[in-house]
Amino acid sequence: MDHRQLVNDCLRGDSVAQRQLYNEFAAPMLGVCYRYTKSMVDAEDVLQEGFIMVYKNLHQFSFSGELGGWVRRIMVNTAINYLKKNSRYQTDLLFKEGTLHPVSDDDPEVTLSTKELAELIRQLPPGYQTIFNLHAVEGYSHVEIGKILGIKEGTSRSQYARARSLLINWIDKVSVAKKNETSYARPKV
Amino acid sequence: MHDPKFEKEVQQKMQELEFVPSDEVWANIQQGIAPRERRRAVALFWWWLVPGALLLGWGLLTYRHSVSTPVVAKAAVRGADESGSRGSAAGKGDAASKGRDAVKVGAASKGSAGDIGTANAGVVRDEATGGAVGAVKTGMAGSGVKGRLASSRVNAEKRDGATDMARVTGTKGKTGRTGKEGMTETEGTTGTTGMTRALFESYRPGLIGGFSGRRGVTAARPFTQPANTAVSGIRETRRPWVAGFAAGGGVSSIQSAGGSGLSNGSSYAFNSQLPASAQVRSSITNSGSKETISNIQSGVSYWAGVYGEKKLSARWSVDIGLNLHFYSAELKTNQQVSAYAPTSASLLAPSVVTYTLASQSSIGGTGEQTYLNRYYFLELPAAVQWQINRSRKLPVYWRGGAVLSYRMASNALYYSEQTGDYEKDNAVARKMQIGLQSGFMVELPVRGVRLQAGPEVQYALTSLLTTPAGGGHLFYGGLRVALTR
Repeated sequence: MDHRQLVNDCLRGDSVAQRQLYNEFAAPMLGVCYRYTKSMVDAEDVLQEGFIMVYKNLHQFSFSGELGGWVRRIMVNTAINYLKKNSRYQTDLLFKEGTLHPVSDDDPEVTLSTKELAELIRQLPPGYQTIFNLHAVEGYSHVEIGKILGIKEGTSRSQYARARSLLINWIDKVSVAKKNETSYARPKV
Repeated sequence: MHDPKFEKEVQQKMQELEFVPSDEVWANIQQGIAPRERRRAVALFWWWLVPGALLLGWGLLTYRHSVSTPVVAKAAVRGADESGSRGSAAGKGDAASKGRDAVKVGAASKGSAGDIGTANAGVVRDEATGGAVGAVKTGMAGSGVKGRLASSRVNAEKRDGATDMARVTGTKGKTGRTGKEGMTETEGTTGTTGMTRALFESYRPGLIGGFSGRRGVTAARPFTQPANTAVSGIRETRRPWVAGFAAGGGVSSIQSAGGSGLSNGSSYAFNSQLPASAQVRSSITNSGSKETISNIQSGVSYWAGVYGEKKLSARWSVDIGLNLHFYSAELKTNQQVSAYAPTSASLLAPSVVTYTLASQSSIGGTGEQTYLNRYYFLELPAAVQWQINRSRKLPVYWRGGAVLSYRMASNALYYSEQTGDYEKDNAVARKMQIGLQSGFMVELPVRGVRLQAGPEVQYALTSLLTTPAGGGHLFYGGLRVALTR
C-alpha cells in the first residue's frame, strides 16, 4: 500500500483516508496496547489516545522508515504515559533496585499460541511486564528503557532477567500441562 | 549472554497479536481529531469571557473608588444642622453622629469634593441609616421626587451638580473652607426632616446666594419651593457611563424570509430535486407530508458580554455592549419528501385546484440523520431603554436597538443544489449580520446592585447565506439578565 499517498490524504483532512489508516493499524496496535495493560478496556483507551497522537503528529512523519513502525512507537509511548498517569498502574512502575540476576540460559521453544503467550506476559509481576515488553518485544536497549522509565540501566537489566526466567518457567509448565492434557493453573509468583 | 532466540520467538509471536477494537474507539478518535477551527472558536469563545469579566471587575472597582463624598450625605448633614429641633423617628443625636459618620466615610475616600462614590457607599451602609440614608430616602419620597432620585443609589449626575453647590456653599460656610471640610465640622444635626429639606435646598441653584456667614448652612432659608426645582437642578448634571455585565439564554432558529416557498424552520433548499410540475406551495398545510428535503429546527442559544449604559434622562438611557453569542439549529436530513402535482379542477368548483401525491423520495440516502449546526458570533448591540412605568420599587423598561454581528466560527452544514449533498462550506454563509432586538426588562429589588431581567428577541435583517436565493434569517428568543452597580 502506498503509505505516502495515504499520509498526504490524511494530512489534507480526508476522513476516508484517516479511516483507512486506522483500519490498517488498529488491530495490531490494539495487540501492542493489550500487552501493556491489564484489561481490554484500558487497552482500547490507550489505542484511542495513541491514534489521536498519530493524527496530530502525522505531519512530523518523514517517510524515513515504515509508517507501521512509527505508529507502533507512538503507541508504545502512549501506553507508557498511560501507565504513569493511571493510578491503577502505579505499582506496575515501582521498579525495585536489586542485585543483578543471572540470566537463565534456558531457551525453550515457545510452543504456546500468540494469545496464550500474551496472557502470560500480562500476568508478570509489577515492573516486569513493562520492561519485558520494551526489551524483548519492542527491542529497546536497557539504556533506552532506563531513559523511558526513569530508572537505571542496571535496574532494567535485573528486572528483565527476572521477568525472563519467570516467563520461561511458566511457559514450561504450560507446555507440560498441555502435553499431559491437564488444566492450566496460573503459576504463583 | 543468553541466546536471543527466545526473544526472537516472543517478538515474532507478539507481532501476530491482533484484536478488533470496538466501534466506540473510532468514534472517539474522530471527536479527538475534530477540525481545529471549531475547537479554536469554542476556546476563543470562552477565552473572551474571562478577560471580559476581569475587565468588567476592574472597571467597576475603579469606578467605585473614583467617586467622592456624595452630596446626599453632605446635604443631609447640612440639613440636620440647619433644622435644629426639627426631627423625626430617625432620632436626634444619633442621627447627627451617623450623618457625620456618613460624611466622614465619604470624605475619607480619595478624590475631590465632587467625588461621591465612597460616600455613596457610606450612605448606603447602615452606619448612616438613621441619618443620611433615611433622610435621603424619606426626604426624597416625601418631596415627591420621582424616578431614579428615589433610589438609594446616588447617581453621578446628581453628584456633579450638587458638587458645585457644595463647593460654593462650603466656601461660604462656616470657616470658608471647601465644601467637604466645611461639612465635616457641621454640628448639631438633628432629625431627618431637616436633613431632607436641606438636601433639596442644596440642589437649588437659587439658594447659592442665600448662604452666608460663618455657618453657611444655618443661614439657608427654609425650604419653600417645590421639589421639582431640585429635580431640574439635578437634570442639568452630567451623566457618565455605567459599566455592567449581561448574559442570556434561550432558543435560536433559522427563519425563512418568505416568498421562497420555505415553511417556517425549513431547509435552505426548496424542492430542487423535484420536477417543476411537482412543485407545491408552502401554503398547503393539509397535505400531511413533508415538502422539503430536510428540516432545520430550533436549538439552544446563549450569550454573555459587557455593556456600558448612559442615562439620557430620568427615563431614557442608551447602552452599547460587546457580546459573544452562540446559536444552534438542528438539521435533520434524509427525510422523505413527497411531491404533489396539481390535478384537474372540479367541474363544480373550477377555480379550486387540488393536488395529489405524485412521488416520494428520500434525498441523501437512507436513514434520517440529525446534525447540530453551531454558530459563534461576536456582537455589538446598541440599544435605547425607556422606563415604561413610574414605579420606584419595580421599574419596567422597554429596550430596543440594533445588533451588528460578526460570525467567528461555525460548523454548519449547508445544502448544495449543485452536488445534492450537505457541505460544510462557510463561504456561502454571510459573516456580517445586522439585526434588530427588542425586549422588556424589570429592575429587581436587589440591594447594592442593579439587576434587570426580562425576555428579549433578536432577528437578523440580513440573510444567513450569500446565495441568490438567500437562506433564512437567524432568530433568537430568550431571557436577558443585566447586572451593574
